[in-house]
Amino acid sequence: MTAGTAATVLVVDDSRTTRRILRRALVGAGYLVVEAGDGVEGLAACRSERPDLVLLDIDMPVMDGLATLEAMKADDELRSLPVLFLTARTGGTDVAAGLVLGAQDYLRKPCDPAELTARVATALRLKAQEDALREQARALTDLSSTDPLTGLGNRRRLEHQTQRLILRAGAQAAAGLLIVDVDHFKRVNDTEGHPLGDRVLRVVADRLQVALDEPGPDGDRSLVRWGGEEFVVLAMGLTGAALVALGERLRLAVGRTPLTVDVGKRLDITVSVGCGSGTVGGMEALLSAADQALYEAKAGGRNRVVARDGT
Amino acid sequence: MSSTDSHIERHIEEIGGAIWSTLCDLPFERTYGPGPTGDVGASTVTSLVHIEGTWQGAVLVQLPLSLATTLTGAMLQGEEAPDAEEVRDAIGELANMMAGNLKALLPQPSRISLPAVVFGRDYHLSLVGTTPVARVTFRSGDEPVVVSLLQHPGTAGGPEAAA
Repeated sequence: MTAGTAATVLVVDDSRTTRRILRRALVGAGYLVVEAGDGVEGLAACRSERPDLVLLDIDMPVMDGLATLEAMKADDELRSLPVLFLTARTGGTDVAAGLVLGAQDYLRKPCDPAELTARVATALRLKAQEDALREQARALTDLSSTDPLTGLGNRRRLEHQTQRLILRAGAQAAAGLLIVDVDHFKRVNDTEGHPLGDRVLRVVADRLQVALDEPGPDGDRSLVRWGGEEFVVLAMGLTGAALVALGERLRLAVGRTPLTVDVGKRLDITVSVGCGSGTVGGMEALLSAADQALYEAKAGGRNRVVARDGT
Repeated sequence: MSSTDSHIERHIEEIGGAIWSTLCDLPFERTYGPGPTGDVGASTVTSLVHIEGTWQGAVLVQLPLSLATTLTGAMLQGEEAPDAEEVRDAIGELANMMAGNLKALLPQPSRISLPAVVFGRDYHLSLVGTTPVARVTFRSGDEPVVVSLLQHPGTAGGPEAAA
């Protein structure tokens, strides 16, 4: 359901009479209604019609309501759909079973139209609140893993990405890691001020990202701001000479054009790059090798790329 | 409600009242005495739902076709008179609701069958081997409604024990 559109309710009941009675009440309250005659049809309608809520009868032929609910909860796409089930007015066995399986609420048959629409509205409101909370949690996670100055991911983002890559490709998958460090950055801050220092970092971030976005033979590459004037690139499947070539491309991309500071005043920006080759599961070794290589690049005069084996 | 009613008869009366008051705006009241015997009358509709499981039996709802048609029309609130298929489905659902609610009062586990609906004149429907547990009569307008609960002998417990 999007803002301004009516919610769609799927009514799953083997009785056409009950479906018509429920449809009348729901349409009267402004909802769109789709119908299914048993659990199997209901599951298919959940996938094809994408309802916002399901009203599910318990006693049905082919596949009853409890089995349908169980199938929905086992399906990643349908799991979060709110379900209100329809059950007898007496007894609690079906009610307990349905709630244990994950139904949000229940209605006793025969159900009063006013109670029906009130419970549907409540269930949809709860679902909307749940969705909003989930979205806020996702936004907070994004925020906590984003560097506010450059908009790149931060160290936390790289940790998450590394875990996902390990799950997808295995810990022994070959990987290379580059540490890109802005040369003489402290001097920029000290002589030109922190606002220009921040601008330099944003420009470097942009140039690195553009260079990484260029088509190349390598696979997944993740760029994050590691901290201070250091950036890290994790490159899946890229080691040895190919990794050095990527480092060289990044170095040239940053240093190719001086930064215009003011009219007639330009600032040369260069970076030193340390490369570590190894496996994605050996992140500490990769970082250590790249860090050592970066140290050598700095000691060797800066504005260069040096590689170390991190295996 | 009579003080001599069984627990299950009181439930049948409550459920019937809830169905009538919720689904249609028709008069509905309990009647006492012998009421209709055997066939409710000519042109009768009978809806039957089996209860299977620990407790085995059936729920029967019988009413004249004219009342079944009026009731269906009131439930569906359509502009045209309901056809036979709509009456069949509506009266089947009525027995289904009645059985679903009674099932909860019986020894568990148990489940209900799909409803079977019979239309006809001057017939007598007999479920072989069952004995009546409860028979409750009502009047909706001038026409009778009979709800019966029948039990297969030898099945565990009874509605009174389960209630």
